Amino acid sequence: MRKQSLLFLIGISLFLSSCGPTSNLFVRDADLAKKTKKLAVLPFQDANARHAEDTIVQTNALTLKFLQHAQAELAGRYEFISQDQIMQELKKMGFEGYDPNKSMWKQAFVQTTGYTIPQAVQVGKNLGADAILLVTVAGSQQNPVFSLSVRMLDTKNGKVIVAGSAASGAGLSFTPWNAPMKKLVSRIAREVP
Amino acid sequence: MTFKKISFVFVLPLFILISGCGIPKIKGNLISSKSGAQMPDLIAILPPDNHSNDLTAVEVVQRAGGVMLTTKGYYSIANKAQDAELQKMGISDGGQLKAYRAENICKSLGAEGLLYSTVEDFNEINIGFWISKKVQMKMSLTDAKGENLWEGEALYRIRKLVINPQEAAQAFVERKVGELVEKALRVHLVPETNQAAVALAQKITPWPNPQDAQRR
Repeated sequence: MRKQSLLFLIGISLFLSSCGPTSNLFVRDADLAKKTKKLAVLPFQDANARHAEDTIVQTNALTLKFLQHAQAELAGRYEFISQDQIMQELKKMGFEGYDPNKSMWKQAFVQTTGYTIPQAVQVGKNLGADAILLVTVAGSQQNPVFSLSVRMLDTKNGKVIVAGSAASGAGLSFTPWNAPMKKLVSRIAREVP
Repeated sequence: MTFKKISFVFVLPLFILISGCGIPKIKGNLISSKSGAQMPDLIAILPPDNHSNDLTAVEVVQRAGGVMLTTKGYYSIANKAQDAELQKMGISDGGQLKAYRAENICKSLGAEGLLYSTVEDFNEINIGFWISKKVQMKMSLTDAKGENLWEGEALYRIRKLVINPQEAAQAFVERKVGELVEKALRVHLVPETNQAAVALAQKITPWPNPQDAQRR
């Protein structure tokens, strides 16, 4: 009986462990990481759609969701630049779309221009940020159904300070983005000096 | 030739043709990979060299490349701002990329690696009774010096013979509606291309390298 319940518990724990998100996090420059205090999280870029009509709602919401997790766990450590300021600066460069502060329906037919990496670094520099956080997200019909890649870049030289990625596990979920985002944020809180 | 022999000659190929129908063939193969190499942190997805007759393939393949890389932990981008930057360099088509050094492209886009691709086939035929879709592409990742880190090919192919006239009419109408949507969105064969790219994703080197990837 004992053996059976032990095997059952092992089986259950193995099953549950496969449901959890997977992640990677690497600190590329610990010195720069220590100096980073002011952070600009740029609007997420979506790997799935160039014409953003179908995914703008999702990406818009994901940027805010990530910020929610980040501000809750990293508030004491980083000062986050407001999305209004970031959007204003991006728009000066001709950026359209993915405005997390605007209603999703108002932006339903906006064709996103996106931004290049040097443009993003420039935005951070203009806003006085020490570093910027760039994120791409992707959805897939196969596992992992949701994945995101995060890079923290220094605004002075564009160097990668922290690089990370996370993906949803094999378990079924109506919100597959939540667990990988939370995991990545908590790893940043724990592992980045 | 007797009647029996003639019918055998006709029936056998028809049987073979029908038996392979309806089930999509989705394949991803790794052609080469540099062992032990550290994969770049920032990747720019370049417009593909389009050998097909379909102009929408450029966008769809770029996006599929983005999905493939993001699912394997890479940070990659392809967007209009990047296209504009490439146009400043004189690049408006993937076919022109060979004339430019990877180093210069990386410098201009702020990337550490580049995803090159070639669209070999990108077509769809739907005449109700006969449905055929094929997406075939090659993708390769290079570092900032232009050295190949890995190269792979992906394929999606489906051939379907519809015998039931009602089903054929339905397939034809579905295609016409699909054409309207695709015309509005200016994309085509999106799920098929994504499925082929995801098949290739299973074979490529995960970011940042096989040892450290997906540690926990």
